[in-house]
Amino acid sequence: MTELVQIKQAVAPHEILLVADAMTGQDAVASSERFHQRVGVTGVILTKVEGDARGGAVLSIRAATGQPVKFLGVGEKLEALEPFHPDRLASRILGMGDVLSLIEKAQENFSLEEAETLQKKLASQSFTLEDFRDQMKQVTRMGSMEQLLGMLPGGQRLKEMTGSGVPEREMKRVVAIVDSMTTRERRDHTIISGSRKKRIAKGSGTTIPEVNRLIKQYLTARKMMKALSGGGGKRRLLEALRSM
Amino acid sequence: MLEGLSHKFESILKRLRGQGVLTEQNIGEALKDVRMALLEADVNFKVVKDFIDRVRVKAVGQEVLQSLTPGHQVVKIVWDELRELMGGAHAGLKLASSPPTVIMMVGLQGAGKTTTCGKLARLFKKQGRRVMLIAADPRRPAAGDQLASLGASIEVSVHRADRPAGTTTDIAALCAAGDCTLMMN
Repeated sequence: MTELVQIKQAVAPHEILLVADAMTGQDAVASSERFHQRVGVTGVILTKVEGDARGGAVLSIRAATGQPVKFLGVGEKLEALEPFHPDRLASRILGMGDVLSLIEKAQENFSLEEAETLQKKLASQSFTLEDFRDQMKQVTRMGSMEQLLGMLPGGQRLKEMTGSGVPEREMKRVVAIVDSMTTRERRDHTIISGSRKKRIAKGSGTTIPEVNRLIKQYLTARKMMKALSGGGGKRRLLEALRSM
Repeated sequence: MLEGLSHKFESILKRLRGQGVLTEQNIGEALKDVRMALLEADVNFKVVKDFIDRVRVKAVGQEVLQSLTPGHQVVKIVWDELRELMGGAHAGLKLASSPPTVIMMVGLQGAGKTTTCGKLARLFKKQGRRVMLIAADPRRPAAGDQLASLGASIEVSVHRADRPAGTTTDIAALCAAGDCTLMMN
């Protein structure tokens, strides 16, 4: 502690951020109070919040230290840092979801260029299996499905219904199957014959029915995209949906 | 995150919303459940008490009891108070008007200082700032190594000032350079 005070005097930092482990609950609060008394912190970053189902530290640290929480650490990865918004977290606790954070996350992860090239592809109706895979990858890049669902209103219940981890595994399989195809197959799905399917299934560690299902999913997705991008969109989209 | 707490809140508030007319007693019972939920969530006892008192004062007012949707009014009050409890508005980082901004990171061992430094550095770098990390822990040399490898992975320069003697002056000198500096101890 004395060393910290010495450093503070020598450097005169603009911010002194206290890093506290949310999983330790009240201990985190007690240690922050101590740090604040001795060193004088200007803000708190709570870490390991993703593993903390109870939230005691998140709720009481502000009231106990009088200093604002500025960020939340929500995972081991370097991207796993969220700015702390009390209003959004309050909504999440009350089961109302947090759509604003979801939108921000999407904006951070989907670049404008990617969206534009996809748009062009759709307009020219050359949406290939490769694009299908890239789309899946983009969604998974935003974070775990579980996290994303938790941000939707009523998502908590949805999460229980789907069971954890299932959609994620499904998406990984899609990526694996497409990765096991040759470039030609990816660009033109019609050439995928029985023996090719067998090879793809073997290469991706899946089965032939799964490969069939993926191709079907891709075709429906393409149909919907076409319906969306072409003129008279709504009517055609409805037709596409009906034919699913 | 916070699933446990969120679960309980949802069921408590659902019960409240289902009632057409709320009496003081209804609200009292619901608040009792809220208090239990918060205490089980390991929220500071004093904080819980203040929180419940504030909600109670607002919730048993005439406006709520006579409104058409009393349950929703209570939910709104709880939301408001939760937000206030956590600080009201989002608090960003204060950066110096002229660089460098120096940020000092403190915390107990194992809390995640080094990792958080890396996360912040990445964030600043993405915003187009020049970042420098300084290791300033004279006690645990491995902490500096860890920071160095972290810095390498996000391409941020790391300086070691974690020698036992003369650290403070070293750090002060280093902090004078760079646009935005994260320092950890």
